[in-house]
Amino acid sequence: MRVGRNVCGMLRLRLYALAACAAFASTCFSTLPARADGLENVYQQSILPGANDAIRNALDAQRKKEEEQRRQAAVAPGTSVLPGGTVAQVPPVAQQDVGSHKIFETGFGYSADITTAYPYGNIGSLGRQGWLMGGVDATLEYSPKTTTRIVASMFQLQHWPYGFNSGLAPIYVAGFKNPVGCADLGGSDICGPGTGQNINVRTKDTFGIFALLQVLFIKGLPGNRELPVVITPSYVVRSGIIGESVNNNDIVPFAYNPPDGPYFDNVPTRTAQFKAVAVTVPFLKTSKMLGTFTVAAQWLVHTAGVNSSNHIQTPQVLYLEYNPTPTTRVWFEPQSARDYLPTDPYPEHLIAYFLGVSQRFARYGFVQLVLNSGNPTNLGPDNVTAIKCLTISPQQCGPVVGGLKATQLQLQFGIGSPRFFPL
Amino acid sequence: MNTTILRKALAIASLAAIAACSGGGGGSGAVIPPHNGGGTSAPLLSRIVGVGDSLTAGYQSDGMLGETEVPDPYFSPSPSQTPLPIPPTQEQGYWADVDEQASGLPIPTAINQMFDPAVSPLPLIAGPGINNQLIPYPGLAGFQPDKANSCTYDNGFDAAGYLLGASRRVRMNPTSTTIRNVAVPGITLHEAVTLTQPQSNTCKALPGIRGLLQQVVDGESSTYWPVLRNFANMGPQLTMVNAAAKLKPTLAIVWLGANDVLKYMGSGGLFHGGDNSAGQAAADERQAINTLKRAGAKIVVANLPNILETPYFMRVSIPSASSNVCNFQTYAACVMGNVFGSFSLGAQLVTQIANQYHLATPGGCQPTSTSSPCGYLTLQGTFAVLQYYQAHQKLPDLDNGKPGSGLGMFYITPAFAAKVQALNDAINSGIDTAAQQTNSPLVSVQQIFSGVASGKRSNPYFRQAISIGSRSQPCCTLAFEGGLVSFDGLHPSNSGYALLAYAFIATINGAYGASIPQIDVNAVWAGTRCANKNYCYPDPYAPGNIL
Repeated sequence: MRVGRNVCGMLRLRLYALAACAAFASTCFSTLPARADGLENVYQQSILPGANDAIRNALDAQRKKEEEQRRQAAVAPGTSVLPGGTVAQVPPVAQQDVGSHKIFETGFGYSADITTAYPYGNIGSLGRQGWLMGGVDATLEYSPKTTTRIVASMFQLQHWPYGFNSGLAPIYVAGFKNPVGCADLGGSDICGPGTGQNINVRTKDTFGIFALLQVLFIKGLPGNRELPVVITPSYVVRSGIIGESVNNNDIVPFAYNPPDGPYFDNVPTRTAQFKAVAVTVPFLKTSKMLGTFTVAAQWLVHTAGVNSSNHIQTPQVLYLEYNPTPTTRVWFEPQSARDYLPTDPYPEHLIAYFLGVSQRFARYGFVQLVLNSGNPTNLGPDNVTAIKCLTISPQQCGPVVGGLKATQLQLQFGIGSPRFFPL
Repeated sequence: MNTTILRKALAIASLAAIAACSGGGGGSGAVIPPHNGGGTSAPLLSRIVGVGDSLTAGYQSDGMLGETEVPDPYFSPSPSQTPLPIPPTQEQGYWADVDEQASGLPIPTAINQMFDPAVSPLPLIAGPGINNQLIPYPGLAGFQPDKANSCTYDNGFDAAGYLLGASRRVRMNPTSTTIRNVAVPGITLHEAVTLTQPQSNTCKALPGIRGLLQQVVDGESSTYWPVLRNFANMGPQLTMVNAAAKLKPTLAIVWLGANDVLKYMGSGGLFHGGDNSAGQAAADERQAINTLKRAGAKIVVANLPNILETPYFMRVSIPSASSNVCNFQTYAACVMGNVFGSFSLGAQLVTQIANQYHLATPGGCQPTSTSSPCGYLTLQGTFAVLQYYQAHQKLPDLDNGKPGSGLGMFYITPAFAAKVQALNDAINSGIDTAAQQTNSPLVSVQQIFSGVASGKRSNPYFRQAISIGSRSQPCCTLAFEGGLVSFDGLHPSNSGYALLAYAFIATINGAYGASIPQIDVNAVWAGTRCANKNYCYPDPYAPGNIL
């Protein structure tokens, strides 16, 4: 069996609209071998940006407050318009209201965009043949008060996580102890006449996220400071469409632990529901830098497929940001994410990172470059590790999917502001 | 001797023998003490179950048939003649023999019940039988498949066996509740504990690699539902072993593993789906044994013969013309020499073939050796050569234009023979290990066949085998058509199965203190175990009875 490191590319065009700003376009060149399952994007795209913004705004507000206090303390006695020591309690009318924790703009906000992508790498003949499915991203936010935001968002990922159409895979037939042959996932007859397999793995995953971002302040820190903490209970529902599916959904056959493990042909392979509570805390804040750490408790709503248990999972995200100029931002976001799809016997530990740089120009324009990569550390060999046939009938074969490494390079152009990391 | 003439003569003799076998006949076995009738019934023997493959199912000559009086399609007898029937196979198997002997009934009564669809413990197959039984035919080989096209013959009789519902057609007793022999011809050791449905649902060839698979898995796909259809309500829990366990056997006979070797051999080494190590074989055998033990069964297991010692494999080394080795071992030169009536011509052709396909072993060979293995022509290979040479006076291309493609099908190189033997040894090692680990008595079929193949009168198994028959018609050896196996060269004849039954009965009696009366192997050979000539007739595969 030839198990190569499969590398593919994606050209992603993205029309963008953000908060009433018409979207333009972005392009993305990526290397994304299959199981880029997307749950890391949930935190990266829908939870962390709000939490980080909240923390950034809170800490900025706190800094401004301290600066104002220092400025007022520096005013000569007798020139003060207020009694000494009463600044915090009774701000002057002219003073900025820094003590009301105005973290979120109250009211509604929304964004929307459409996306498309094109694979460049060798993911097999079917994967190379054309564009991936188009997608839509949309977010609706409502902040009833400045420390609370309710988010309902959905985004779609185009990728090929079901399997990877390259390499040779052993073929098992139920009942036989050992492989009875092999198949070239690229479709050729290397393993014999008629043995090539083309699995249409082009996939569009759809995520729906419902989250409540609540900013709390821990008081009593040195210097009478407050530590902003964001608590984010959330509910994530995901589903998908796989090209191989005969009914335009994510029901495709798959097998586990061949030759004797189970075979499924009626399980939605990309469908799952999660509930989670995330806590985001800052650990670094300067005028140019921000660092936060997020940890969450996460469960499946219910198990499915080969899921064996549903113990609490604790994804973790570190976020480091550097702003060398007011219009430039560089950020690095390593993650230990968790995903748990019906094809997984146990939760995937996805070690991933996002590295990005964005630059504003003119008044509304921006360009952003994002590199991300990830790979589950607790699964076996990557990609399609085998094909199991329930019988020797070609209609009853399903891939055994192993871990999948994902690497993506995305270049985005837009009007408005970088909506964080739009994959 | 011209074999064609011989076949015609034997055909007439066989017809006469079947017609005239109203009683008696056959010699007595000097080694085998005859016991007829009346065994003792004991709880141990109250529900004997068979778990295995074609060897336990009672498969012969590439076919499986339970019905009697199925007419031979190649003979159009005159109104005054009795039609020559296709010999039923299932009731002649060793398991049927053991069950009859252990039934406690008078043997004729037990035999009657074995043939009776209403009460038989066998999944009796209706005529013309499943697969393509080799039946007597006055041609070059003396036999011929009974179906020109196995899939379409008789409006798709075989094809019906691939489907659960349609398999009703192939069974004489489709709704039987008395079946206790669940052996599925073609099944491998691992399949026995895991397979829950046939590998294929069609008799038609499937494309590509599945075409290859079709060849090697077709056996169990065509027989799975015909045997196990009455257990279909077990759903995904239906495996052959689970079906056997559901019967709550008191004694289970487990004989598996042959197809793991045969499928590897027949595919020229391409098929690796079966158990291929002693560890895998031991694990699967142990699982089968333990499943049956948990159901309350005592167990008897058996290992495999060295398949390269069966007449299906015809050695290409040339024996001395003065040697009598051709009488008890199978050499291609002997078979061809018999057909052409010239040993030297046979030897000449075989030498050419051996050189062309690199089948010779310099310095001599031993059939079961992995260090000095022999080269072989298979049964198909030998008769392909014979037919082609007879028509064209030259040798055929056994590779059909693709060098090496005839390996397994038509010939076995010494190097490949070593691999086949190594796998054979590994499976046997696994079976032996599992037997020891589970304290299960073992019938060493390997010792029996090797003993018979030795040709040494000092060997008790050889003495026992050649004691079958009469002075004028001795039987049985592992020479081609020597009487121990049927036309396909692999599955035992009536007498061969009886010989195996003898060993099983001896083992059961010895291990569990039972008192199953021993089978009269000579009576089986002679067809005198009962008076019904549809059930008891001279062994059609024994020398003197063959066409």
